[in-house]
Amino acid sequence: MKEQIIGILEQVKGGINYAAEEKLIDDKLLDSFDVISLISELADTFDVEIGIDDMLPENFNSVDAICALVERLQEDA
Amino acid sequence: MAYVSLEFLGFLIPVLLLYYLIPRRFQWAVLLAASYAFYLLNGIPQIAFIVFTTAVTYAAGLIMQKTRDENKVKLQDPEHPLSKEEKKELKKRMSAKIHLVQTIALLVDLLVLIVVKYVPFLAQISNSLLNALHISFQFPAFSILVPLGISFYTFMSIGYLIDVGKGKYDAERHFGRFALFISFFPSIVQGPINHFDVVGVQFREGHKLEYKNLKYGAQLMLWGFFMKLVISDRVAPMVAKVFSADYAGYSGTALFLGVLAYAIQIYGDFAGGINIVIGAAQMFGIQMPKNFTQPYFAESMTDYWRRWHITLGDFMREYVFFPVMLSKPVNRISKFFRSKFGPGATKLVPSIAAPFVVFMLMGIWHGASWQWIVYGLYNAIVIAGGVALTPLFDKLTARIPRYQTAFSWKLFRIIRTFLLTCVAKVITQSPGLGAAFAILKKILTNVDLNLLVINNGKLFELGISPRSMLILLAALLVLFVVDLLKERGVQIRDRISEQPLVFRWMLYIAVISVIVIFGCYGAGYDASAFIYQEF
Amino acid sequence: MNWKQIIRIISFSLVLILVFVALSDVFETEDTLIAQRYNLFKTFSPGMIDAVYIGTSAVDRYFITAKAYDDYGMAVYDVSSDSMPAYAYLPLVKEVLRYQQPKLFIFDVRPFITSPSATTSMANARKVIDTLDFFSPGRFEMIFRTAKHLHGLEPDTYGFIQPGLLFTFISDHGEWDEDDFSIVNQPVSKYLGYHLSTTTATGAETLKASVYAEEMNALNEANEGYLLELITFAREKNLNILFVDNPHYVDEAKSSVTDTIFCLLEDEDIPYLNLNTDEIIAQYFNRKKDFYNQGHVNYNGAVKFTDLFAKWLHENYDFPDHREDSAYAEWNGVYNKIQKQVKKLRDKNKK
Repeated sequence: MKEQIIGILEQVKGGINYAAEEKLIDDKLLDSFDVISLISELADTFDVEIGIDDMLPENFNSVDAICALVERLQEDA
Repeated sequence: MAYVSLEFLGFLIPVLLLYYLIPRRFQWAVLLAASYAFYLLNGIPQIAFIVFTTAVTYAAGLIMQKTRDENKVKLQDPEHPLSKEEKKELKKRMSAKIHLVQTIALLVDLLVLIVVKYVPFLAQISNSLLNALHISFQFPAFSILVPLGISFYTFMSIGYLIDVGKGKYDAERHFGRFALFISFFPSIVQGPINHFDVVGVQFREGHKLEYKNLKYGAQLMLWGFFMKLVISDRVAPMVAKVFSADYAGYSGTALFLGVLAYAIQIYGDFAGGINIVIGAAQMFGIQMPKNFTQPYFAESMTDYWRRWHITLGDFMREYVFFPVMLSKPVNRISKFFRSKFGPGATKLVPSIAAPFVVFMLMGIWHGASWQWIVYGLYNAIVIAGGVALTPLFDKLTARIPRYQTAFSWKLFRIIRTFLLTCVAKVITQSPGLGAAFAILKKILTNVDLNLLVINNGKLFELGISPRSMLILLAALLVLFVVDLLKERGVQIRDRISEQPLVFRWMLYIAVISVIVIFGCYGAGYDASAFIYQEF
Repeated sequence: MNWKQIIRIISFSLVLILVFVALSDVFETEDTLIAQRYNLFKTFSPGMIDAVYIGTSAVDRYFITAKAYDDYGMAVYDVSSDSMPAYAYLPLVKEVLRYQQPKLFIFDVRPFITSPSATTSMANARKVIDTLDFFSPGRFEMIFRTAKHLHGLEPDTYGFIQPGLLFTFISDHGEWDEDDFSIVNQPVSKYLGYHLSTTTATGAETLKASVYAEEMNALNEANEGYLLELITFAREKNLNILFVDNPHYVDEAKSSVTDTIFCLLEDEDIPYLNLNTDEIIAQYFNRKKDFYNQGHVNYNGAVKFTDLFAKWLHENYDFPDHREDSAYAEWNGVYNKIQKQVKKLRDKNKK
């Protein structure tokens, strides 16, 4: 799943070393539009619904965090 | 009581003394009393509004928290383990209850804001409409004196309700501390719009008297006074003259200068005022978020709105933009576009729809009039347009690789963005929409370069004398240098601390003297009086 | 926060106040002739002055100290400023007493006729306040009284505390003129306090006939208070005082109040001299040539007034003749200087 997520991220916004970054949101590496695109792609690819309640920086700051979010949503679904 | 006044200083100093003399666990009480005293000094009946909003928000927060806590207990109860379906059911019910309470509280708070601020305008529009339809019914014209800071504290309440609903942090149980968060006097008048988990939690701790806080806070306040009194108020007569009902009498160039003057005035006034606010809060040991980061250095409108009135932009992004974008209706629309136009459209729909929602809201948040609505529309179009055209720009400039990094390109973008923001300012500052468009048209068509010839003195009929103009230019230079340093990341107050004592004291005395001597304020100075001096 | 920091804050505040005091010295009020008059007064050695004539522009446009000195050797000096408010009299008397022990205080009645609201303004107050020494008690009293009156007149504009009066440069901040700066301190009057200008040298307007009232109207309450406090103080300190009204146009309202003042003075047994009568004007002045506006004499009128008033003083008071006294060496020839300057201004005006 991690590679898939990195792939999506690079599609949304290239030029960032996603494997290494831990502060994608806090350091403003992704802007609001990027996050929206990311969320739509994630929702489509993994068939999960990411709601407004999940819009916390800690859920998107790193690839691992995104992974954890998606897995949790898949479980709860 | 205005922030830029001797009375405010006279108010601040005793409060500071009391604050640091009293045992730390009561500091919040001093601030709460001071905040309500400050509020009452601005009008007594209005206090009912803020108390009402505070109470409703506080109660809703507690209820939501209680629901969440009870649920957590049930979910994790080892004596009554639940199946997966039961857990899901429980979570769903909890979520529903929380959302219900949240929605009711949000509606109530918003309703108060809407009734106070927007009903008169809506009544006016409805009446015009009824008139046009030849219906004789008319809504009564009424207007309430708008309670101080209602736009700001309502938004802070909304943010709190949404955050607690999300479970981002626990609700505040202490009513006094919560009331303080909503009414804190430095930020009640013009923001920043604070988050509870950033500023509100600071009221839970006691704050030791730190010399650095006093010093840095005082310096920031001083800088704010400089921006407001020496720059903004000095340029105010020109703005008042050019944007008055007599605007038609001025040439396009004069109008353009007036627009520039307004850009300077609003920056000095607002950012200067915020400096005073943040500086004052710092003196109490309360750290507030930045609200301005050199906005006129922005290279695009999007960038501009990340530098100007930052907390408002953050609020819109967090509580309007994202929820709207992630809502089901918008999702369905995105999917629809994607299926028709391919994956590229995914980004396009939100990028165009979102700015419209956000900026229309931002427009009417500022004020209830057509001008603000058009203002919102204008910003939305520029930003949406910018996003939509980015791929095109990128293709064009990709051929010329040096462009992206060249300074001249950066300068071009800065100036372009500045001019775009100036148009927005004309829309709102002019005496009416018709005037706004007329002014814009005249600026573009009626050029009077004679105005700029210093010797014939025509320049100085716009409201600023030669001497005043000189002082203004000198002050603007200082402002520019300081902002440039800040843009480069220089921590100005730290750098000043590193200098020898004699230099620091000379600097403080110089700045204070400049403000006192060259500031435009007080009974002796009257902006309109200067205008009439020529008669 | 430790003691070192507290001491630093206090020392900085002191340094700041000192800088403000120094700056106050540099920024002066616009009318330099007034400042020059006061500055010269402060240079006289104690005991030099026989009498001071306190009041509005009705003093320094009328009484030519240098001429009275030339004619009789008396040292009667004008301590006046334009539109001086009535509440300034007592503080000024106290100020004068810090420098001199005059045998007589002459008071111009005009401030008591107009209500304080007409004369109270930042500008008029500052004409007195700015020229007094920064730390003189008279200045603080003036500041306090001015603030009180301004606040009473316009409570919304003027707070109870007026830093603009204490530190002069605070008031002028919006717009500066070259005249407002005087780094070369303490210019002194070249004409022993007489207000010599193009207007007084060359101005001419026919004086209308005053309208004298039949009834007496009450004095403004505040003014009456200021008048009485002056009289009380004079009695306490055993000062000789004299009230004077000199020739100018008065309407019915003004003359009715003037009569009340004279009545009050009579009741209090205070000497006064009413020179603003048709008879005096007919006998000693020329309505067409001696006035530059309805309120003031020009140079011609001033010469005549000085003749009239100095003679009266000489006959009624015992002022020594200082003309041989070396201490007054600089007073000799000042009247000549005045005459020369008047001629110069008149020649220039003809062109």
